[in-house]
Amino acid sequence: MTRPRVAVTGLGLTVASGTDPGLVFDRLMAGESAIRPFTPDPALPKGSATVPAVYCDDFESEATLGRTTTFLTDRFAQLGLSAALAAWRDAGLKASSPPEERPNGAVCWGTGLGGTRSIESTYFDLLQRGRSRASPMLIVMGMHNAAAAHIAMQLGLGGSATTTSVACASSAIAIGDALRLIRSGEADVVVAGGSEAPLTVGMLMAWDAMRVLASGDAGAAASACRPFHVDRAGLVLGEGGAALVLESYEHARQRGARIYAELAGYGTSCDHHHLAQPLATGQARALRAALSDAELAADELDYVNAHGTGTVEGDPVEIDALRNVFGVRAESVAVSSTKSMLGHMLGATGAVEALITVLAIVRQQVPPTAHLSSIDPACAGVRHVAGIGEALPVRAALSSSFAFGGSNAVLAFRRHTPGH
Amino acid sequence: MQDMQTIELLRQYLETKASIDPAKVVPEARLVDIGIDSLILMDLMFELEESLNVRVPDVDTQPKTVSELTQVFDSLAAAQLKTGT
Repeated sequence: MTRPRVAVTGLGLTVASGTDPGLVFDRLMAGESAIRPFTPDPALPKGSATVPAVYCDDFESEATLGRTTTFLTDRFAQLGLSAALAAWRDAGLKASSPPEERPNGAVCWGTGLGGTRSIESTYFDLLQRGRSRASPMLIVMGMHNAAAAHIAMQLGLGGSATTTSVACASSAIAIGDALRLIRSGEADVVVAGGSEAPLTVGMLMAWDAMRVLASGDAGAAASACRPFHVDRAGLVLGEGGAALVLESYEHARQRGARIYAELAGYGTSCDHHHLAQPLATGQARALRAALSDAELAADELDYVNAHGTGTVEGDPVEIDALRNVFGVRAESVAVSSTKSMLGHMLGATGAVEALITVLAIVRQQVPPTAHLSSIDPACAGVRHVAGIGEALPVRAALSSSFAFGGSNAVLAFRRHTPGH
Repeated sequence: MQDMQTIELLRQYLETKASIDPAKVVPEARLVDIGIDSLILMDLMFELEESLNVRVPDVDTQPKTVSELTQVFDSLAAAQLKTGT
């Protein structure tokens, strides 16, 4: 008996450049950055009043999710639920109230920080403002699995609802887990993705203290994140959420669903080396595992949506791993980091980039690494798509996520050919 | 007088946070019927405690109707006036 194949049938996202996946993709193809100066509230204690960041100021939770849900949720859950509901509708599945019950429907969600915003503001009230009591809502708003719980409740998904927290690989691993759930037969439809709302003063200060945040004033913020560039100067934090609806091919065919692409494989590994210093051999293990799981030969692979955060140390390690895995063919594998335009959404980033990778396959277009005017020689050896996107044949593509802690996750997507 | 004040606070809270129609928040209404589940009730009691500057001593207090809920707070506020605390 062959294992079930897994189809991507629904896409939903909430990012700074929009909630319409097609439109967001168009903006990426044009090299349009969503990074802007961000003024935290309360203000940062010292230094510049603003930092380059990616924030969803057009997102109105109450208009999208209603008042009751909004008051019961942290922003990370709001961004995630909004993306999940959009993906569900996009898949042509019913979003009725009460929802149609699906005992074999599951949620696999990812977040690095969960309800950190609610937790931080409560600590601020208690410890700084001298408030004597914490809200009884903090526990259900702050818990990491809040987004998954709301998604399952709103969509009637009665199978497992899990949340993985693996720093920057959280939602890539959630999507990988979803693939395994469907292959095992435990679930026939899974809402998989992730969300993050990390733009709090405490988080910005802590990331800044690690000396990995890019700086930039009003004029320079848009191009503050420059992965693979010779003068790259760090990462840019962003908030957002994305979800994929994944189904067994059988389930998708039975209901006549449109199939965007096949989620063909997943590879994961741990560097077992260092908390914050990535290792090419560890990443290469995850890349090879994903290709092997997808039964893809290296020469069938046309595009890699790189982790590419824009840090001085991280980017060359990733290119080294790609050169290692693809050998002489690396020169012809298109590579880009869309973080140059959407920033690093930590636990949500894997899901956002998986969605972009699916659209690259659907459109046969590869989005660029923006602002890549001069490639660092240490990052050379792959086919960098620089500045603006290119129309290229994409038969199969990878989306890479490499986390602090050394956990690596690579998802492999393959073009869907109707009739197969 | 105290009664009116508490029910008004309750109406405001329920409309702002849970979109519950103030017209439905009448003394005889059962909390479950107007959409107040255990989680919302918990937060509501917390907010009323903060607004009225009182503490509900018994954690098992589970009012079933709007009037039972307002009575909990009004009796506490009255006791507070008497003792001057």
